[in-house]
Amino acid sequence: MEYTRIGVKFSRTGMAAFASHLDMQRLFSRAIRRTGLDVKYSEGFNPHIVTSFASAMPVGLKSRGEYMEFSVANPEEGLAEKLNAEMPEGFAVECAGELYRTTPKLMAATWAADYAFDGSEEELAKIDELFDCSEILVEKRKKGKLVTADIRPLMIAKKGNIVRLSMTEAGTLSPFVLMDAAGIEVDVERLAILTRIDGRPEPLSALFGRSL
Amino acid sequence: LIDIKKLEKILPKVERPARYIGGEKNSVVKEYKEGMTRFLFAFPDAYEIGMSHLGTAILYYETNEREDCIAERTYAPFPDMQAEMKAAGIPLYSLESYTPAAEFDFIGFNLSYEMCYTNILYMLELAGIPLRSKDRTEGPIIVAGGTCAFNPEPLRDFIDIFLIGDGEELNMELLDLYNEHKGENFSRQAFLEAAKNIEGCYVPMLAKPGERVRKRYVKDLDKAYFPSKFIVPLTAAVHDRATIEIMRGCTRGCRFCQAGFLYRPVRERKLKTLCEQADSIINATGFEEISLNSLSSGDYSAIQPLAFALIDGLESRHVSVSLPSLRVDSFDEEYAKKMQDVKKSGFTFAPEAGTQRLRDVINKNVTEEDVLKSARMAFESGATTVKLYFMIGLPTETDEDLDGIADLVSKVRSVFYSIPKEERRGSLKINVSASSFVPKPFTPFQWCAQNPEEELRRKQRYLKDKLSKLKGVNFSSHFSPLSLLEAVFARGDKRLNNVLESAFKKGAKFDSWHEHFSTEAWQEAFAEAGLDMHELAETSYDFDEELPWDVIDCLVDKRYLKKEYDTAMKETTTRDCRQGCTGCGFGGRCK
Repeated sequence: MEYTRIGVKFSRTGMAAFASHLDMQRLFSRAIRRTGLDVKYSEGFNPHIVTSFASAMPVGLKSRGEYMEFSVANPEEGLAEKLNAEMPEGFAVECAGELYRTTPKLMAATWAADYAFDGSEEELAKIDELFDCSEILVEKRKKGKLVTADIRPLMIAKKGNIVRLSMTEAGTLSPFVLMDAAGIEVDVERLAILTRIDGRPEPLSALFGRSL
Repeated sequence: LIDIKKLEKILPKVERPARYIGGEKNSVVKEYKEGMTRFLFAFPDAYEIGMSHLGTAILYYETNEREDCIAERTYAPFPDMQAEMKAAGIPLYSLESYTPAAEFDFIGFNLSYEMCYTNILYMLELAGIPLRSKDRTEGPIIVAGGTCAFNPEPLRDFIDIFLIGDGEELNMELLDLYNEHKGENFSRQAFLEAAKNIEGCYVPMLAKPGERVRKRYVKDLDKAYFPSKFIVPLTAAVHDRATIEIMRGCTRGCRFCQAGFLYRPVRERKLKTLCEQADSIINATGFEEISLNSLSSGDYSAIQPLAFALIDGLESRHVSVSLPSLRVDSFDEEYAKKMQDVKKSGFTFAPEAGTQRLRDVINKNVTEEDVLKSARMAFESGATTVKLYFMIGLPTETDEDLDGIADLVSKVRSVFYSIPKEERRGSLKINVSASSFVPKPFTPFQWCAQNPEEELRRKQRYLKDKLSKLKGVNFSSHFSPLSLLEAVFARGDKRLNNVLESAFKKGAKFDSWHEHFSTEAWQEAFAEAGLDMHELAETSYDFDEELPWDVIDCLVDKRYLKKEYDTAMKETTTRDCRQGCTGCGFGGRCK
């Protein structure tokens, strides 16, 4: 069976932000199952729908531009609408499109993400202070061990209350870790996940082909 | 409504916050309109346990089908969440509309097991509702139903109305009555008095000595309400799958089994109804698995056609069909193979006792030959993992019966090794579980004492020692303080209300979760009340003594239970009543 890869852009708002990554995988699989689409399953004893997310979202993060992909036998128009109708409260499918065979997995195509911090001027100034540093060492848990890492190279840019943070296999910075380092606690929302096309930052959806 | 901003602030601090947010697919969010009656289904355990409870799901949807009612849900928040809620001033709230529990007309607790009782007080407190009925002059009517409601006495001070038996009709009648009473001139007292006249409602505050409340049951299960969808849990539930209830009640008459006596008579749903329900639930949920619910699925009159129809209809949609509580003697080869095709899981057998003598005492009409034959079929169809369930501490048990367990396990092992090596699909794993027998109301063993805790521990060690010599055998047994408390509350009387409240005040909650269980809280609470939990569990009742649960009539005659007890002591079995009435007291009403 020939399957076509489908990229889905979705948002996660309200209380749904508190679903875990594992919860998300399960709820997407079940939403896809409810659509009745002929989708690709894994091989083996307990076949499951093959899904892949561009990013493992931290628990508590709201987002307006999240991405996942799966494969279908018959890519049909209206797929995005069909899937959207099956999503639980707080999740909305923004758009969906075919992915070319040569396009890397969305997970491997990410470069950075933009975040909107809903803080006062003083609070946002604390983030500016971090941008003025040449090195910011934070402790984090890695495989159960505490390690020290420099997060400064993962901070790309800041404009107003919008901050661009790295999201690559080599290094991803969570906005919550940034806030810890800045000593602030404000509402934050992911606005977009970006890739680079010919060196230019573009939303991941720029990789989508025919819209469905 | 509760303060959502505050809730959003505390959720990042707790474990698995998805338990506390609602918004699941198929949850019903209705707009409240003046005059509607609001019913909160409160499950006195964690979200992941409560979400798997079939009875709640049925009544939740049935209540929501009514235009004059709203049903919502809440579960017991774990202590980390409770602490944050208290600090933030957030009361217990419903997952659908974030409405404080205290604003509902009814709060209904499910009593599936005795060890959830402290959580009822825990939830009432978190809701800001007085714990005792007599202290409540306003606010929600607190009702409770489910298996343990058949002995309401240990909770009588806290619950306004116990709903005894099947809820499909009973709950609706209660809601109708409330709608007649509600309004400006609502009198709590008058409503409770009227509720007392509904068959199946036990109102402890108004109960008079000698009165008995008769249980309710739906006569035609096929026509009884069943939802066409289920809520899809947002975060994994213990049974994260679709369920259809194929049958209610059981005719086998195992003498230790409370459900077997409480849920008589046996009623079945039609094959066609079940296939339709399965189809619509799978479409509406996207669940990967469907299970058949009943006390003894193998006894369903069309179990094979049903299993085959479900497998044929659902297999291509990547849905696996699982069969729980399959009786040893109803195991069939073709069937076993079919089940194996779908899911390469293990097989479970519950011989319950190790010798034929003891199996006759408990009326578990299964022979060693049945067990070994089923095991052979399972192994030949490719299974390498089997589970064997036993009970220890059964009436008349001696060490010979424990030897019998080890002997039976050993024989099951031999069956596996008698299969040519090249036909085995891996190495053998036998998981043996021995739970401690707890005497339950409305069973022939209701008068019996539980084995002393020390004796149960000794038996566990004895078995463990014997089974550890067998390679590939895993032995697990239950935490004994819990079995002791379960026995105390299962057969307890009204003196336990004070003990329960005092244990709760000392920090007892989530008692069935090892990490939250507090032995000290319970010991102190019993000591304060001048009661000895060992004495309560380990003393037998006299046959002519008034029993605490005599306030309930479960429609099985007490004389029949006594007769069954005598027959047990003679090590004699009683036939399955499908083969002829055994005179339990239903007297033909079951037809």
